[in-house]
Amino acid sequence: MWRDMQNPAFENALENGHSLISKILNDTPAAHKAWIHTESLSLDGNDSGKLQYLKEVLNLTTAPALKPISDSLNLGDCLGQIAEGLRLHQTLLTVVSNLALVKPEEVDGLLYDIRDLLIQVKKMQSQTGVTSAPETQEDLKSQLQKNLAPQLEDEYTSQVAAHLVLLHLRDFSQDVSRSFRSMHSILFPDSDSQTTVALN
Amino acid sequence: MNEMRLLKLIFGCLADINIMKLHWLPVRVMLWSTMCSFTANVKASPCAEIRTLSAVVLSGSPVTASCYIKEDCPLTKRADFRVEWPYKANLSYASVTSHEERVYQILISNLTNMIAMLECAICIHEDCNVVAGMEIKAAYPPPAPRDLTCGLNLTEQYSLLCTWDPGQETSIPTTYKLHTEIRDSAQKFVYIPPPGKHFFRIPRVGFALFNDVQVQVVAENALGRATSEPLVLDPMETAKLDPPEIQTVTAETYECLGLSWSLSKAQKWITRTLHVEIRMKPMSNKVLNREHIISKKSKSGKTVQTCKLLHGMMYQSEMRVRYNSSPWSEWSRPSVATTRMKAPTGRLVTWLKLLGQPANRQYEAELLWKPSLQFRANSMNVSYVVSFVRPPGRKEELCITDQQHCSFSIPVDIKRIHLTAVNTAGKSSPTDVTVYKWKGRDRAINLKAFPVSEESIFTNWSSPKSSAISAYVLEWKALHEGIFTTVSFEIVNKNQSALVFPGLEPYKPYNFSIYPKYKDVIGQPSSVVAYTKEKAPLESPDLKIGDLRPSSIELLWDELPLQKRNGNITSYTVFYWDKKNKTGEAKVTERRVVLKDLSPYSVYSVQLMTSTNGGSVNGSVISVMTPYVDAIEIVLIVIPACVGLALLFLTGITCFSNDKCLKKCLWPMIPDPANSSIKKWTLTDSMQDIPPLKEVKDPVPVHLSHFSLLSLSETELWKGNTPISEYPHCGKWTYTGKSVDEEHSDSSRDSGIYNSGSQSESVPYATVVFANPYRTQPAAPPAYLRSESTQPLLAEEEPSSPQPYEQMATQGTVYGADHFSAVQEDLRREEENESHWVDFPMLQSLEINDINNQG
Repeated sequence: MWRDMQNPAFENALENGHSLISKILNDTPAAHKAWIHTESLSLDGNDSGKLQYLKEVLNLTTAPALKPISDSLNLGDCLGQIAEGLRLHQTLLTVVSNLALVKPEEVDGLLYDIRDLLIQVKKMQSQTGVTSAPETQEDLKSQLQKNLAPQLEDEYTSQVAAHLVLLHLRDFSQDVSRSFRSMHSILFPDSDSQTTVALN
Repeated sequence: MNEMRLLKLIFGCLADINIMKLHWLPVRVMLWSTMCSFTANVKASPCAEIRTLSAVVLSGSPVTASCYIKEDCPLTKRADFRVEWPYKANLSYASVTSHEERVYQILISNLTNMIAMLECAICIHEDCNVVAGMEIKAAYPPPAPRDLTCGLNLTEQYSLLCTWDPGQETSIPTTYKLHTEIRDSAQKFVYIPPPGKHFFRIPRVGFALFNDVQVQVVAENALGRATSEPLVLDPMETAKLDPPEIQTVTAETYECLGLSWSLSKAQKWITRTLHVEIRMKPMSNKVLNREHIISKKSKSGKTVQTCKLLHGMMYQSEMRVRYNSSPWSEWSRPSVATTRMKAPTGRLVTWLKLLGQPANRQYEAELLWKPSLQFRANSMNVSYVVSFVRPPGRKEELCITDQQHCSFSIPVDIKRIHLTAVNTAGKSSPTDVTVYKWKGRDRAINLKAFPVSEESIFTNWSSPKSSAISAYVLEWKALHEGIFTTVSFEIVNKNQSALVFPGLEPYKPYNFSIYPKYKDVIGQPSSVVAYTKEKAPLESPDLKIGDLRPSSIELLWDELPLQKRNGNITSYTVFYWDKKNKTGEAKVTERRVVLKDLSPYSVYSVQLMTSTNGGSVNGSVISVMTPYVDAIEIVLIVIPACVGLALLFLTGITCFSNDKCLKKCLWPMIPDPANSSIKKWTLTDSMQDIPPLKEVKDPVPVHLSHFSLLSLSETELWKGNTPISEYPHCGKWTYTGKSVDEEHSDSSRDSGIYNSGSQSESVPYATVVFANPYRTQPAAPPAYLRSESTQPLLAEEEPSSPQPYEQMATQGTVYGADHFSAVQEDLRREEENESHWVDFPMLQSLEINDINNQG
């Protein structure tokens, strides 16, 4: 089955996806900096323990952890997990940013990148013959909006929610990036080697 | 009030429809009903209203306009009023009968004007008043926008800038809308650019990265809408990426350089494979094929290996990238690295010249070399070692250089030397160079050179027919570079008779030499100087004034430096003119000219023009004044002339006062042969005293076999005749008492001996018989033919007539002897006429001698 994926279209979508996830990872700190002005909330800091209470209060849905691709993990399933996680973060980011008092354009940039990445994942999924699951994000979105709206009226809580969403997005993006690299090295091992050019 | 009018208008429309009969023209019905529905296209005044279907109509289409006269219009109180549409020159329309009271219609069948003004007037008799007016525009629907292009801007705020060509202007306001649709996501967006702008910057939300987006522009105006051709593009394929950065260049393997590169910091997220172009430029002028551009695919952060490079060569690397068909980025900043080095390989082409003859059993020699096609220096810095092996195997180095030529001394017995290329990685195998001696005699080869272009010269030569030439060595060098010029050479086959030298500079002199190469010797060279192209010299030399005289000026100038000649100097032309515009010119090839026939004390302007085959250039004009005739010079000329004239005059007066003396001065006394004795001498003796004839006027040697001298004693000569004191100025005819030998010696030393004044007493006379007469000399008239005359010789002979002794010295003596006998006979016939003897003292002496003999 994997051998079927060794086509240029899949490789193209995979490379595009990797570029976009790299862009998300690259742009997340800038979005965090533009959005989160609470000094104690930093992407680099280890504040998971300190914010545990607010995490529970906010009850932000988290994406399932991506497992390394292997013989035991179907490529289609892996792509499905990625797509699901991306949609989740797209919804979280949308809801939290809509409820927040300020919404910097960097956050919009992240949303557009996630949107574009989802297109690439969809292309990859179509190459695997797996149809993507019906998008139920509207329900999730409305549910989240309903739950979070009263809590995000507090600015600090709103900042913590935004911080946690970006933190989760970064962690998930790192997993996605690793998964893409893994897929590429398995499916297209030759193209990862050094490029050698000879003068004519 | 307006609402009331509107209601009336609507009701009027309805009434109109109600009363319409079925046979009315359906077009009419439609027009009117439509007109009623567009209340906005009503232009009203207190007296009338003009209604049209639309204020903007399609150009060329018919237009119907109605003028509705209001009931309360004061101009219509009289019953005989009428409604007219004032004639417009640019409109053609016709009235249409209206069935509605107080409504007056016209139909414009073909409105082509961009803007038409319709006016409605109420006339009573000839008096018309315009009561309403309306402007109608004729236009077209917008053309479909063309040339829609979009480009992604990957700056901080990503945007997709789309531009299009709106096509022909429609003269009415046109709006544009930009529709984008992200494929595979069904997201659609519409953007409205500002009015009049034909571009729009689509924000990030309106397009996706790495995914096709369809873009369309819709143009719309009052007459219609048009849509451009849809443009489907991946925005990333329109983005011009930033120049990449070459991070490191490594030379891990031979012939290869590894370029580790990445995109700019802002674009490092683009991890997908990109098209890469690498420009490799060797940093050495010696490499002819200098630049390589190679294309490959690579990813940011990876290393691209470029191989098949020269060993030990420093390369400047540059890189640019693009995504698929996107525009190329700018070239990266160059990075320099050197490939791995190897020892030189291959042979060198050599040309060894011995300079002159050996001294101290050593030849001075110059060795030139260049790489053969197979030679590889394999490093940037290579040096060369010239050496020879002296038996039994001792190697001696002649020179070590990094140039491609070397001068040294080699022992005359060395037949072969060796040239080795060396770098830090090793040395090449030696190239053997045979020492060729110069060929002693050789026929020069006729070498000719012709310019082919501004950068090349064609040379050809003819080889001797019977020569054993094995090859030719052609050598050339730029003369304008002075002593630092490098000599180039080419060894060509013996059958070749022409060669083109490319890569030369125009207007610069080059010296070409050809050396014939025989089996074991080198022939004499033939050289020629040539230019690829000539033009006028850069400047003309400065004139220098040499000898300055009242009527002439000598001008000199230096040679023009080679760098300024721009060609072979063919001539110099000196132009000169004075203040009266009297002009002249002198054309010379040497660097000196004398301007003659000038006026003293005059200012002359002089200009030098220097010419080559490519043109001429004038030098600066200098002014020169010829000097006065110098007073001292006048004195030096005039005084000697005056003194000379005075002496001449005095001499003339003195001589003419005593004509006898004059005669004696001017005509020689002829001795009496009868009273002369004959002496003989041998040729050997006589020749001893003869000075070298080269010192005499006639250099022809004299061969005497007989010489006779007739002389009279002093007392016999002058007995009873004019005393010697009567010839105070004629001592040249006097006898000094010298011997004949001495006399002859004197005469041969100086043919003008008679004028010397050294003889004063005797009258010598001689006959010289030549054993070998001068056949080459023209026959002269006999020396004493005048004796046949009864007139004094003074009256017949010219003072400048040749002197007899001088003639005798150059003529055959036979004639002299014969003439002398004739003279003797003539003299006997004239014995009675003694009055004549006074005038001929020598003949008189002969008479005396004859008397003595008889007595």
